[in-house]
Amino acid sequence: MIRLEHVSKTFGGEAGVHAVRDVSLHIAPGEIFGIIGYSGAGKSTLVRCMNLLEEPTSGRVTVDGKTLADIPSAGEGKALKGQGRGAVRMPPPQLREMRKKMGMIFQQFNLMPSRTVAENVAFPLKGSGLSREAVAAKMEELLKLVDLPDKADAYPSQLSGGQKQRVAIARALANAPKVLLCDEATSALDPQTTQSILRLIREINQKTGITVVVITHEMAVVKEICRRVAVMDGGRVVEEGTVYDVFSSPREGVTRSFIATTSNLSKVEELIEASDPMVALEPGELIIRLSYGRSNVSEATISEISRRFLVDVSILYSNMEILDGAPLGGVVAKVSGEKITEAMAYLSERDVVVEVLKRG
Amino acid sequence: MAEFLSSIIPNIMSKPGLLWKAFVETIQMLVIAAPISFLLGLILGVAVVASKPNGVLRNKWIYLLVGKVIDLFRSIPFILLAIIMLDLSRLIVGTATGVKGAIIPLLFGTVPFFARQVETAMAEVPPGLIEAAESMGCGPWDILWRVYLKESIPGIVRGGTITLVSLIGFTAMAGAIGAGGLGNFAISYGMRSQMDVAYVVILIILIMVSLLQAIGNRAAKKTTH
Repeated sequence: MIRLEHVSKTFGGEAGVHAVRDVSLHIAPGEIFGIIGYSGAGKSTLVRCMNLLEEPTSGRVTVDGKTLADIPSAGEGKALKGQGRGAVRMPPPQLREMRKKMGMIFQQFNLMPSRTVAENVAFPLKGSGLSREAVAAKMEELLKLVDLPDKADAYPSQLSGGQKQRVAIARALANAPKVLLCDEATSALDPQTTQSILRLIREINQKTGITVVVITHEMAVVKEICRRVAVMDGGRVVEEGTVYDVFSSPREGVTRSFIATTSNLSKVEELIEASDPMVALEPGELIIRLSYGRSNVSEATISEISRRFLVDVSILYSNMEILDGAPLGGVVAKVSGEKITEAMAYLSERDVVVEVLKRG
Repeated sequence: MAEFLSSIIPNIMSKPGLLWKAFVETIQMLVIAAPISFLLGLILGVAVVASKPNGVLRNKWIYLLVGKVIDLFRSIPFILLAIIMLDLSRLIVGTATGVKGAIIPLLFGTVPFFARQVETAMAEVPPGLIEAAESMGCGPWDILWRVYLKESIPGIVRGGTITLVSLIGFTAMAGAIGAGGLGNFAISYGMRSQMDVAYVVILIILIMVSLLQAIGNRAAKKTTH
């Protein structure tokens, strides 16, 4: 549905800020795709390249089979000058029609304060050729969809943050778009409201098959609704894949730090750093972290090793969660006993990732 | 009553007809100049906002030109502006005196002022709203009309009120160079030590300004949601 090829965006000329560097992504129809990164990673700029609110400095953007922009990089342009590969930009009228098929919601909701909820939702319908009655019917249907049927005549200032975002979603869906771009749509909301908005987005995705792109800095959001995810850092996509794969075996430090925000398994490192008495070890004792994957999370590996190898295992932290329907978890434990090495080898054989964090 | 008034404002009571005529002339100047200023100021204000470097119809030359012209006329004190407009006024409306002759200087005084008020009001529209409208496929004119202008109505109402108040002041100054109206009336008799005339005119203008301000505040409040 959305294809980015070698998209770069630089603000302020060659020496300026490289917000997005050579990003290539393909987002399939009907999927919920997450883009996670810290602020300044370039994810908001990247999502704006998808509907061309920001024109890429170079690269190609294709949505629903249509090329919105195809701009050769400076080097390419020079090298291929003779062959005349020029920049291709969709003309503004067509681009505006494309944007109508791509709804967008924002962190700050961006509702029109001088218009009622009904007028906000009907805003993008102007010029659609619908009759007054048809607009009213559509508006009613949309407000029902976002569960705000009785707020039609309220002004945005009278709504809570969650309600505002629901109105924004209704407005974004008014032209029955094929794509919904969510730019930090839940970042200004409390955790419960975030959950309800994410549930709504998932419902709409399942009901209408709309392709959803979710930009966030919150790991919990990605875990909640995305099937695939791209991790951004310094303007680049550093990791990409299914949420399960990326977060069960992270390759990059930035991915690990996102995992750490929703798991307590890395807290032990802080304790070790601070020489906390809880992690004080006798000689021969070890602190290990076991990470489980899809195949072995439900096995009783800890009681097995303590029976087979006579090791004592005292669990410090343990964490288990369901990512995209599959379990992912781990344990941080203090272990002691004669046959620790054998026990660890046994675990590794069972595809449990074993890391020694501290030796006594 | 009449006797009492004659004792405190003798010079008014001796020529109530002239006061009335001056009042009507001031109202005429306002009624003619205000709507034209409103329209022209709005157009110029929108032109500045639309053509600014990040505007929806960015255009360096229009931005520079309109901005400089506005600044030029705003920097000239009105009393001088009125004098240098005499010839232009003769050229356009055929006279430089009376209510008719006052219109051109009044427009040159208020239009740039109101244009800046409009620009300020529109600059307060959050950029997020513009971005949202763009993401919904709105074109530049749509954005100017349905987002910028619509969302800045309360600000434009407030700016319009301020402009009207200063327009009243300008009509009084225009009186000094022969435009008629309350200003002319007060100046010509005030100069002859008929100070009561000046005080009564000040009182009338004060009431007009207060009334306008009250109406403006109310309208601004009503349009803010």
